Amino acid sequence: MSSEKPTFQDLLLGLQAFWAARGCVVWHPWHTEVGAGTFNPATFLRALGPEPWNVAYLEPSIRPTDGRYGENPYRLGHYYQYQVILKPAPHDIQDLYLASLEHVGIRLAEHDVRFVEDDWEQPTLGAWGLGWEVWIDGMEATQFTYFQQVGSVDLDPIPVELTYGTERLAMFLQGVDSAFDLVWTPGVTYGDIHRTNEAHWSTYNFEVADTATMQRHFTDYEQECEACLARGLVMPAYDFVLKCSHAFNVLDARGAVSVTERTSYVSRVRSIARRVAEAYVAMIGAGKEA
Amino acid sequence: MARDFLLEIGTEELPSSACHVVLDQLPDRVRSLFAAVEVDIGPEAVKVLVSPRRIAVLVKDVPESQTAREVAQRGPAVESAFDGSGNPTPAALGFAKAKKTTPDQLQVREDLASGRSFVYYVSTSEAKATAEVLPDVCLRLVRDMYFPKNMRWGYALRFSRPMRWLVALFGSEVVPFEVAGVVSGRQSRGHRWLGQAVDVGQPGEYIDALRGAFVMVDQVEREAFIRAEIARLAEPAGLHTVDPMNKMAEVLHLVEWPTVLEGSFREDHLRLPPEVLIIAMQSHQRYFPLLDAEGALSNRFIFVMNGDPHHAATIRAGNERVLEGRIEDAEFSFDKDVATGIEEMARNLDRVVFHDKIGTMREKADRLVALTAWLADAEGVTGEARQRALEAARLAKADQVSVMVREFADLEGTMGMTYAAMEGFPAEVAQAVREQFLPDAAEGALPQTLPGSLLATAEKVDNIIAAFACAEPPTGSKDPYGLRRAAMGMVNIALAQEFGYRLRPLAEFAYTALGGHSHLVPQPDVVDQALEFVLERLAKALTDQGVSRETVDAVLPTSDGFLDLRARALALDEARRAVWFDDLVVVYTRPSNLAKKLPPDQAGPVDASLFGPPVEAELHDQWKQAAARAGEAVEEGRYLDAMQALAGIRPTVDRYFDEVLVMAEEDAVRINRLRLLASVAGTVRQLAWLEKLPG
Repeated sequence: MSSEKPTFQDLLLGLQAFWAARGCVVWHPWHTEVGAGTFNPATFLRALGPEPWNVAYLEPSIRPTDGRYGENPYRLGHYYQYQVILKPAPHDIQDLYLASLEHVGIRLAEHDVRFVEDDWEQPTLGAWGLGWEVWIDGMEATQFTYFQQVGSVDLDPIPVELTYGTERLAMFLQGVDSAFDLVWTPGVTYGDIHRTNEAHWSTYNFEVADTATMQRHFTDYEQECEACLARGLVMPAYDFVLKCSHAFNVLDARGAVSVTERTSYVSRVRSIARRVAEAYVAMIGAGKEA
Repeated sequence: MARDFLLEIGTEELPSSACHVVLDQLPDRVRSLFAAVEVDIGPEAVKVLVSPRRIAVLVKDVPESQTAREVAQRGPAVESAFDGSGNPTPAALGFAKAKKTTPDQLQVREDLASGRSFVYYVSTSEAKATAEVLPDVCLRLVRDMYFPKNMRWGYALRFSRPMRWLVALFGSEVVPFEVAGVVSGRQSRGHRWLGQAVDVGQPGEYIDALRGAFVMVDQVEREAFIRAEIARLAEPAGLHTVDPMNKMAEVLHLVEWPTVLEGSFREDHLRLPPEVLIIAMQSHQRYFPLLDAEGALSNRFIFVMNGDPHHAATIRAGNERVLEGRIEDAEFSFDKDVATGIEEMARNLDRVVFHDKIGTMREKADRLVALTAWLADAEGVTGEARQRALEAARLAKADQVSVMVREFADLEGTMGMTYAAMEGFPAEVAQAVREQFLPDAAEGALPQTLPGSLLATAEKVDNIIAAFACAEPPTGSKDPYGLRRAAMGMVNIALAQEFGYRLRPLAEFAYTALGGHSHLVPQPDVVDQALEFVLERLAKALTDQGVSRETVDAVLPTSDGFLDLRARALALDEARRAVWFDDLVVVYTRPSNLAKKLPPDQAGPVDASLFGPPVEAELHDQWKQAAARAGEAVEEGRYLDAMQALAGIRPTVDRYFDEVLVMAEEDAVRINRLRLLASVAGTVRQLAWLEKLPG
């Protein structure tokens, strides 16, 4: 890493190089909307089962409720998570993680890095784990989680999940106060690339998206998931879980979901996610016997 | 000779809640484990120290060996162990042989349980060296550690966070043991950035050895240091910290080498409501806001860092930037809300569903207006106060569609209050909007305004009736809507404001207000269940005030107003201590027992023409007079007088039972007598169901 401030893409390339050098499969974003890197099948499905699995990838995270029309320097409806899964979790995983921060240019000894309790839960996926949010000088830089369950299935061995907030890390490295001011690569800012996208999607998610259509989509995708499960098609069944989850997120952004309705939607997604997880575990188990 | 003992369990960063549980429970567990292995330690010998990356147990002066105990094994009874001349019998010889001793070594003792005497073989238990039992003690301390939440990380052991090293020393010797892939030794680790690995020579050096590695391991010392530093920074500026979310308990276990710093944010952010700024500082960042002597929020705050003090300036700047971002984010949301306006928010409430069985927040707001009006009428609240209560009810839920409440759910009510005040609604209206959620804790503050008290009651009644109507009442430990607290709030508000409203008509009105939604539990069931539920909270409030449970149970069926029931319970409590109370019991008990023989279809008025012995007419007259006096007293809320009036007819009741055969042959006479007795008992029963009292 040069002594100049790293660009946004320096940061991403740095993380890729660091984890590739430690034996991770460098995966890629999934092809449908996901709210977090955890939803990518490289995490959700591969965290299940006994096989070792080390993977790292960038994931555009689509969170309709977090959109702010590109007017708020800290909030984005589309942002980039950098996701690492190591299964089983290595003994020195904290040190390894800290070395990745040094690698992208943060001199840790000069800052206040802390592991602050944060028990992570993704109720729609029936996934939870224990761990921390990692702070650098009070800034939440990474979610660090020892998964305990995914798809409501107990995990063995235990994977560790690292989720870096790339915009925040880059803002920290570049010393800028708005994500849109980040230098993506010299001459191009994050705002050049994403501001219009933020404005348009915020308008769509908050004002335009048709509630009835989204409700219908939710039900349709749920049925397609069932149909796939009935035929043992785990992979497409899982994509329909993701599509249900996204339809729910849009409904939520439209303010069309009450507290009790939320519970019902979340439990519907969790239920199909659990069945996909169980089908996946059965499938890889059968594969091993064959 | 005695040596000190140390066990340090090195971990990845522990949650503060786990640290607190360890501090609460581990000292006792250490003491009982040492007792269980029969190694005697002094009552003050155990010290537990906790910091984010370690749990340490120090025990002073642990003896070298277990305490030898006397072991007495019982042999034959004394009479069969020795013959007439005191010589051992074959039974005694056999017992001695089995114990590998001689008969002269046996002792005669009395068995306390049977009072008989036996011969005993008394020996001393083998006292193992403490060093031999300590590995097992260490293992059990680690394995049986209690945490509110445990995790797995690849071993059978469950722990709060992964365990990474173990130091176990008895004096200067390592106590060897292994658990979850970690082998004990003497090497500890220091502060993650400032310190290095450190060898601990012996337990007495532990605290200082860690201090040398930049770990202040004693939580008491750490807290005192942080508090002193806060005072040192704040006091010269005439400021003091507040910590409404009790973040000190967390901060204490987020640092091993604390440095306390002051930071600030841009002064113009102070235009935001203080609650918003305080939440921004406390909820994520765990900072301590600084207030001036008048209690006004300043733009300064205190935070505690764990990094290298040499880089304090960088670290401060980073923290200030993060807070600035959080505040600006909140400000962004706040400005959006202000631009929308509270009236527009109130209009948008139909977009949010309150409960899928009973409709939107808009319907909920409409119900609050109707219920507030009902309550205002019941309490005779008119004019401006009534108007303000209704206005507050109309606006009460508006902030549910605000961006701020979406972001910070804890600010519901507070934001509504702020936005109402900013738009020029009277202060009392704004305050009532906030007060709808009071009391928000078991002993929490009550609404101060009359409109707020009415609205808070309406909000709680609606939540309770809605939950029962949707068949989602609290069960066991499950009370997701906090209805027990809501019911307690209704009771406390009513008693404080002297609200005399009746619960049954209120509950019926609240149910009707739910409107024509289908799939609801039928009204009679909802009203009965909700009444029982709410009155149980009143019972608790009264018993907490010292009224006996039986007294409360005896009056509960007689009324459905909180104030009225309290007056009745206090009166009965006093009556039970009065000399005439036995008379009241007599006036009630025998008539009421006999009156049970009156078939329900034969109930009716007493016919004086059917009276026989003169005492019948006498009792009838006296009862009528006493009942009239009691009725008057009840009207005026003088329940004690009412009871005393009825107790006064006891001599006549006694004579009645001496002279009258109630169960007469002739049907009409018998029924007429039972009717009189039912009337007498019924009058008392309007005041108290005395059969609920003991004895």
